[in-house]
Amino acid sequence: MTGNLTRDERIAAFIDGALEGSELAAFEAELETDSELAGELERLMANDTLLREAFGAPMQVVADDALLARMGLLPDKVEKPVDLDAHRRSARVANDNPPFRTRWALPVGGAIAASLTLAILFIGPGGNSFDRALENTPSGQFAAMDNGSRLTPLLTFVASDGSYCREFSIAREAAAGGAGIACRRSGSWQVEALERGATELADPNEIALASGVEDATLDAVYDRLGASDPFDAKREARLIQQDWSPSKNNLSAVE
Amino acid sequence: MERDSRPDTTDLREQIVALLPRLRRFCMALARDADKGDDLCQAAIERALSRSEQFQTGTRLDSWMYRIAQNIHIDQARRLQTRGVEIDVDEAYGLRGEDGLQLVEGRSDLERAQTAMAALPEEQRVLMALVVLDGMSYRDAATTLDIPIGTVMSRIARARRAIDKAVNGETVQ
Repeated sequence: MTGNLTRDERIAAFIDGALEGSELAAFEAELETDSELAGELERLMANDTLLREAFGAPMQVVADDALLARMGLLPDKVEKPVDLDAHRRSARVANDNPPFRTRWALPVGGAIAASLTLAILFIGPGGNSFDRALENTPSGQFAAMDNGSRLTPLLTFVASDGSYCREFSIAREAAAGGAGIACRRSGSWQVEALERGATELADPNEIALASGVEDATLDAVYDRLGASDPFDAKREARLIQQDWSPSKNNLSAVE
Repeated sequence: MERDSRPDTTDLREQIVALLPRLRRFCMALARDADKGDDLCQAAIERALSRSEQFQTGTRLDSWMYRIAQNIHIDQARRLQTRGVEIDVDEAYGLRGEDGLQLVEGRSDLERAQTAMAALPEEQRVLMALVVLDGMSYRDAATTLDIPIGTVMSRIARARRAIDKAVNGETVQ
């Protein structure tokens, strides 16, 4: 492969292991007798060593978080579940649903009753009860749906396509229920994921399933949607107040 | 914070992390400066992750990443050229001290080697980075840069000659 090489090319090819067969043998034979060639080879190889040393710094660096962050290599997966779990926890603490019958006996019953009333007040005419619940209910509070299940939004985020989405749980008195994710598209809420328990409690007439809705873990759906970090309560309240329109008051969907 | 909605890039990320020391060295050599090299490296990683579907499993990740970095570098150099900015070789790798002249006098061998590398034409420097620094074979370097193997050989030979001149002076023979 080496054909007619110049002297410099032969030396370089020898150093880089690109001389083969008879060419290699001929070069090695020359080295035996030609001390000038041997000296030059030695010098050029020393130059290479010097170069590798001069550019050796990156090879010594251990990739810590700071470097990975600088390189855009910190996986956001590491942060994501922490954020989500914190939001879910706080939403569940705010809506620490005891069974219906005992709820009213608790000292905090009044506050929860108030939030229930609030949710019902917010639900206006139009749409179905699933849409209305997601449309109007702050995370951590719940809304009653027409089929008797309760829907509790847990957190709100924006997907990479600009849609607003909410994770919610659906529960009924004795049933365990489950969680789901729905995104608001063209004014109504489409379910992107629904855990089995939630599916049983949802009203199939009310719920619009997005195409390819997943029975997978919610985390996979967060990934697929390209979810932002969850919104804080203030931003969520603003969106609810503004009917999920980002344009009012120059609210941008992506902050 | 927006997240990547493309197919899972976890595997690719991990492979890039493993490649990172070599990738940073390559970018540093290309950009002629450690900081600018890291900028280049970051840009290359961002592009790679956003085009992860273009990477074919089973092919060499290093070649793919180097090619991406080189493309970005060429684009940047072209933009700089049209703006009429020239890179001062003495500023390369952040070598210039308070007193430029004195630094040249007392410049260590390592600094001389970096400066010599910075002074090489682009097409020779990238090959020195691939073959001499990274240890790639001529064949792999040719594939990575999509040039004939004979071109690799002649550029490497010329680059080595130029480096030798810069490091050891004209008179050495």
